Amino acid sequence: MQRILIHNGIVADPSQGLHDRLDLLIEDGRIAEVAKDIPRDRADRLIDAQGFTISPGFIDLHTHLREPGGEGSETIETGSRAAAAGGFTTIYCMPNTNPVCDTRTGVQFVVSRAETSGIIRVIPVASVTRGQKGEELAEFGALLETGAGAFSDDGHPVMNANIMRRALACTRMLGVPIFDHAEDMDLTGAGVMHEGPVSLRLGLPGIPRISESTIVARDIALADETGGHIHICHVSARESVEAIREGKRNGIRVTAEVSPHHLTMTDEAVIGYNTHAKMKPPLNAEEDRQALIAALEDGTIDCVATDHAPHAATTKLNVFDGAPYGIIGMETAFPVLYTDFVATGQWSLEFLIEKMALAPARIMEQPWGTLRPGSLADLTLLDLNCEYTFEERHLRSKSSNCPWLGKTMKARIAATLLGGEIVFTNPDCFSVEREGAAL
Amino acid sequence: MSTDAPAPPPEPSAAALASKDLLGIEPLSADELTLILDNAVGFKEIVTRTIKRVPTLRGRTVVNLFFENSTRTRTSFELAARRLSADVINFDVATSSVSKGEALLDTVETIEALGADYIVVRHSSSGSAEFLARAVKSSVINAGDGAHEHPTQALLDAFSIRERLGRIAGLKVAIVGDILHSRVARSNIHALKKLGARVALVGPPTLVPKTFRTMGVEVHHDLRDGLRGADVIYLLRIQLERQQKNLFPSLNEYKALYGITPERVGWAAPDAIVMHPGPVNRGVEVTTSVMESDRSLILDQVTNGVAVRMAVLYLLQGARNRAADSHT
Repeated sequence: MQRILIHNGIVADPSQGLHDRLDLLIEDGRIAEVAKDIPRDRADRLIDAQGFTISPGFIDLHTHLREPGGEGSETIETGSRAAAAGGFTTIYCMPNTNPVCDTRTGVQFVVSRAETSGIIRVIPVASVTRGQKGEELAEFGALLETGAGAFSDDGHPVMNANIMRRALACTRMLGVPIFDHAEDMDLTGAGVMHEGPVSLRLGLPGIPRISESTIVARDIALADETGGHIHICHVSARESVEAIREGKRNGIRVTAEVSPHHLTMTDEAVIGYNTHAKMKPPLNAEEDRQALIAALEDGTIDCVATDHAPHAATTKLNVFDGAPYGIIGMETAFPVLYTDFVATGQWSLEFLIEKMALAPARIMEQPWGTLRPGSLADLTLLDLNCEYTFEERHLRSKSSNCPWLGKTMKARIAATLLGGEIVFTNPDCFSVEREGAAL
Repeated sequence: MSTDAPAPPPEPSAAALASKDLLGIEPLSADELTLILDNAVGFKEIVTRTIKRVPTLRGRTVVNLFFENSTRTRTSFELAARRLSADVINFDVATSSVSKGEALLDTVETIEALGADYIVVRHSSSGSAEFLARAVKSSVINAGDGAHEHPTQALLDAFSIRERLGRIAGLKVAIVGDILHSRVARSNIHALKKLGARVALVGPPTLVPKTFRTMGVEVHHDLRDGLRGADVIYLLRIQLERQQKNLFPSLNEYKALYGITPERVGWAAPDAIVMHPGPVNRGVEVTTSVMESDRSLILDQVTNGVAVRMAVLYLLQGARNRAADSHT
């Protein structure tokens, strides 16, 4: 039995209301004890966390790892390394690969690739409909049994309301959520960015906010009727927030996530035809951003999820309407949100950790996101006493389509442990000598 | 200064434009706009001579890179360049195989490597001119990028208004039609506002959303309201595909609500002039009789286009020379 003692650090665990200088003892990959001054002789190995804050490992319900079919921009291996570098220990990866993850074989492929080449826990999200075409339901039971964690046609909406209704009825039976990419493709039309003063000035076709909010309202109504669990992905519009708030008030099984980019940027970021500000749903107006922040703060939106969407550099070097949608986000999620919301005093550290670790685990009804004794030792060491410029060298993803290159960050991930195993150490935080001595 | 300095234009100006590129009207100052218009006066004198050529750009190469067909604009740029003694290459890329991304960059880098001093580009993507300008050292002139800007059109329009009415400041200009999809409208809004005019946009809400008010203009869905007191009625071409996309029910309905007839010209200020960037859908946005009346500036616009584009080529040359000097 291997015992690891992480000492000299500060433990911040919202699940236990802890934020204190405490030691943490890991036995056989699980948290054994969190207490003051645990004797060093109880451990086989010491990790000196002097200057670091120990948090439960983060959980990302929304990533794209591109394998199979898009290995030029990301693989399960590189994606899991990017996740570990961002402090994530569990991530869900979306099925819009080539082929689409809609069969047992597809799910099995991701599960086995994650076992052999992934360095953190990677859980496949299988598609709602075969080929994500929105026509025939996927075999939910078989896919779940093979290892799928949820279902989504992310990248495409389920436009046919009756298909969504049946999907919710079936997944309710199995007790898993549908991750809902809410978008009315007819309302989106040719739109490539938020419809507003900026799109008007740039001469780019706009996507109206109701393209999202009408489908959010529809799917909440369907969840109400079927009793299924609808999880709204990457909420971006203030009308969607209102629909979710109303749904929760009425006791409907609806949860929601918001991305770091929708919390920190608006359509103004597109000015200059910046393709790193092109994503779906689009960056909306400042009023929407404020509504999203308020919704996360009051619990209407449950958690943060990155929608990590890698694209090879050449594809983003393009005219705006020719570039693909999406940006990467796992390495930057915590540093960006810490810098913009915690360092500024708007949020407590515990609040952010809860939204990135405990809340997503709660949505999935999984026992993660906590440092309670008995839990898996999935954790991350945070360096909150730094200031540096975020650069391409900080990325572990195969792609670098990141809008925050050049941003001054006030936090970084020092190390990440999965089940007590160190899966990431930040060379900027551990010198060779210290690493040799401590790790 | 090299010893082979370009010959001065009729009224040489020491000033130049700040940028090597002309990507839009929005980034230009009112002084820069006026500089271009003032220079165009001299060039117009040249193009009305018997021998319409000066040696200003001798040895320079202008490449017209048109990803969308436009005989009118391309011909105007070509004439402007030739009258300044530049070499002109027309590079027509009507097919879409090179119209996006990498292939677009490859094309423009190839053209630069062939020795282009100016690349005049028209492309269906908004922002394409800016995208290319970032990639090359040649001067990029935007001849229309998607629904974004068409700066030389707005310059020739401003020149034509000033020539006919003697001023721009204080005038009211009503722009009627499909503003939403129009780069001409956007460039005109910027130019007219910077030069002190009042701008009113007129059309159905699907083509003239109220959000345009954020650009500092009036928005009218009623033609009579929009034309009231207008010194200039500026018409845009209505494209049939807009009807196919259900942005308005039919061309007849559009014509009934917004078509300009001799009677409706009377809703504007006395002596109001009528303009159109062409090509005109006769009988849709405007009747033939209005088009051919002496209030119409449509042919002047075409003539003035060459003079204004000569002024742009000349002034960008100044910006390029200055940039070259600062490198040495």
